[in-house]
Amino acid sequence: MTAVLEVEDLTVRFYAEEGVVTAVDGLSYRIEAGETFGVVGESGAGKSVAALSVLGLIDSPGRIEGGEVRFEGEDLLSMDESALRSVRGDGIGTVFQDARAALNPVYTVGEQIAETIEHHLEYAPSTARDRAIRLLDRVGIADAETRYSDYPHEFSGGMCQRAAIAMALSCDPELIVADEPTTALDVTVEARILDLLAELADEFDVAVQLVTHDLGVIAGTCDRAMVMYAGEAVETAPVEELYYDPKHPYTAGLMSAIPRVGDDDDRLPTIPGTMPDPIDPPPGCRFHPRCPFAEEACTRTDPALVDPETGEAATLDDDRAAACLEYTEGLSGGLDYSVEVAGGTGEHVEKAIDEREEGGSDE
Amino acid sequence: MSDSAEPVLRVEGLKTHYDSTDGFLDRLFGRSRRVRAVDGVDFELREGETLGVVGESGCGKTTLARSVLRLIEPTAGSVYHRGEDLTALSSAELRDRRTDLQYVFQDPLSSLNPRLTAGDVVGEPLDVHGLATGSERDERVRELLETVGLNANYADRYPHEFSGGQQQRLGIARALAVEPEVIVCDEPVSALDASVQSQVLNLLSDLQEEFGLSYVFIAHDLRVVEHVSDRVAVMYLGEFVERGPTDAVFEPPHHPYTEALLSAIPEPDPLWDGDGIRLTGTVPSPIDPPDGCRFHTRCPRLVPDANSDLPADVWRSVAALARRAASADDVTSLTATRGADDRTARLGESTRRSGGSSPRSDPATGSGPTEASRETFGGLVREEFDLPETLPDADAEETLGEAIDALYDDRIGTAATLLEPAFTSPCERHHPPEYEVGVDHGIACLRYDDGFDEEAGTFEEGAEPAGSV
Ligand code: SF4
Ligand code: SF4
Repeated sequence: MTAVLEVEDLTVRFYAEEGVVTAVDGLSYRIEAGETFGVVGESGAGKSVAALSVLGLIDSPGRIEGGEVRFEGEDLLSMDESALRSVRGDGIGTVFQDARAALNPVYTVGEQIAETIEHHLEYAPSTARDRAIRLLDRVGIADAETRYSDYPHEFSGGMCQRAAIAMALSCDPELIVADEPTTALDVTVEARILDLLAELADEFDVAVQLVTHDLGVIAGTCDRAMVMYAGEAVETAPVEELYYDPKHPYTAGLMSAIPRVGDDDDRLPTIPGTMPDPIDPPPGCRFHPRCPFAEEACTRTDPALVDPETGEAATLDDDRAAACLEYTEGLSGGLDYSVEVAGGTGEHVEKAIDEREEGGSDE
Repeated sequence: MSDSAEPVLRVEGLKTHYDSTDGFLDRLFGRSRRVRAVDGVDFELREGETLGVVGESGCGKTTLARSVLRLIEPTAGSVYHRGEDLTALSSAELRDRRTDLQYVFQDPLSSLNPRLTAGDVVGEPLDVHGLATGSERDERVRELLETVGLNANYADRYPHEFSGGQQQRLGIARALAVEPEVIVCDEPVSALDASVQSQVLNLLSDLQEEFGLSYVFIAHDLRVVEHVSDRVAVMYLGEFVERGPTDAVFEPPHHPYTEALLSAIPEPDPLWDGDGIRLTGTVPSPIDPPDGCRFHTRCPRLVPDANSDLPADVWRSVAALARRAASADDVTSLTATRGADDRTARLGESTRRSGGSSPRSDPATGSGPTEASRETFGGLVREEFDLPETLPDADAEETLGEAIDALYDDRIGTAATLLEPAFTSPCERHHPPEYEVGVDHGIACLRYDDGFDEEAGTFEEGAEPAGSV
């Protein structure tokens, strides 16, 4: 396996009027060639900022303050603008949440794709057009040859997202960064777009960094995933281990908070409180004000990302890592949650965390 | 849930149509475009219960929510609150009713006046309805904030200083201020993060218990709807297609649309096999909804013609071709560019940079149907519509062959006429009424009609429902 992307110790800060926000704080991860890697978290987790950093799209007042983003071994952060642009065009495709906004409203959908192909692959115009039509057809646009000449506003939301995927694939990239690609879509459309993305990733042998807030989306599409909280990675694991054996209390809490069809409980388990103030994050473990297992030590010591089996600092090559003091110095109370897998139906219910008083007032 | 005789709300034949006549040309030609956003909805809301309404965007659920409280004027039908028709009230009377009927919006921040403090947001309804003044008002505001789990000392803060979850709590406190009996919640948690979403859902359920509230709960997320609702209605293109107790709706028998929605839920479980049925296309325009069953253009269970001897899925594929032929303006649109494996072209250096080969000159890519041979063309049509090389029924094959001939000659109208008699579904002819399939459980799908033969998968001769479109 070779890594197509390695992010090491990435730190991104935003200089806002109210203060300095460390949106991404010492983040490290790797994506293997051809694999689909999920990045999941709630708003304020830093997952989109991480994605934009890979694309070199952090603009003022944001600043990449440190770290490396290596694409096929080369550090994107030390490249000049034109080198970066060519890597971005040839090697990395992008799909954003708002596909319509990503398409230029005054050119036809087909022209935009063909234009990209011509430019980056140096195809002749007619060949580029041919390829654009085939791509549109491949992503499931019925009647692709006619729709080639449609403007973005003539496409539905789902079709725009399909066109955006065609565009992302057009230059035969090694990596696609997809930031909440289905969040704005209806569930029936979402399901088909996710199927399509998985199919194409396989067929084109392209790696995908899939950023989402929805654990359900990760489960069905990704090989490995990373959970982010308040700018940091709290857990990384192959998806099956992440879902059946979460090592971090936040992961477990997040999973238990999703209502599931067939679950008769009247009340949902919750994670009390909300994301911390990004300007002034809590000391120690950033999750401690919301963590049901927090102890005195958690308010003082910032837990390192470690291999949960050995307690040794996690490296880029580790598949499994978690950042909780339980795995380094040990908590006196331990982590008291369990995962119940209900039957073979695949309904699996996380009875994670003892329900705590709901922390509405201390949100 | 109590079983009182008169429901708190009874909605009958509610329709909300609006005009979307767009711009100068429409007006010049006197074109009117009526959007039938809500098109004949009936339901009852019982005391202390939650009725969930679920559907994709464009199904009319938000228009329904607003029409019920007359935030949008309905076009027809009635909404009875405790026996009195809200649609007949004057605006002053309606305003008084707002003390019983409240609304919580999807986007907490934009529904809160940014210039009012939290205390005034919650206190405003008290002022409007003259419910409390002076220190009594302040006391009540503090109490309301605490009821929804907000710190009463935050009364002087402005909405933007709160988190999304807190803003939604504020919206809920504002609705509670007048001590209503019904709250219509329009996607109240869809803008919130998962962990906060569950807090707000729990709050709504606590408040329901404490104050005996009844909710109409509008959402697109079936997981959320299943969790909060006592009964559920599934909406498609302005109509309810299924409604019943939550457990019944989430278990078979299903309306085919409900079935499709359920199988599309992304399950947070990597070993879950999500390859259920997938719907194609999007919700058609509510300006000109399909005849018969409005779901027929996307229905994976479309009922085949009674006289057909084809397997149901093959029949459906030919029917899809028939429908496309009837609505398309030219033949090209029936044969998308299939067949050319993109990988081949990607690897083939000859295509790259040569600039020579246009798709038109290459019949294998099939993008120029009239230039391809009849045989190739036929193959492309069959491929596009997932049809076998020959249909297993000779008569059907003959009809299809003739239709493809017609298409090949660019006589698209002829093709449509050829296919129509044998490939029109009863679902295109009949608008399904609601069939009772269980206690309090109704499904508007012809498959639940008495004349439908489960085994044959269609209607017996002469058993088709009488009513037509
Ligand atoms: S370090 Fe402490 S607060 Fe942080 S996740 Fe572990 S137990 Fe919870
Ligand atoms: S009536 Fe026909 S088209 Fe409508 S849902 Fe039932 S089977 Fe499908």
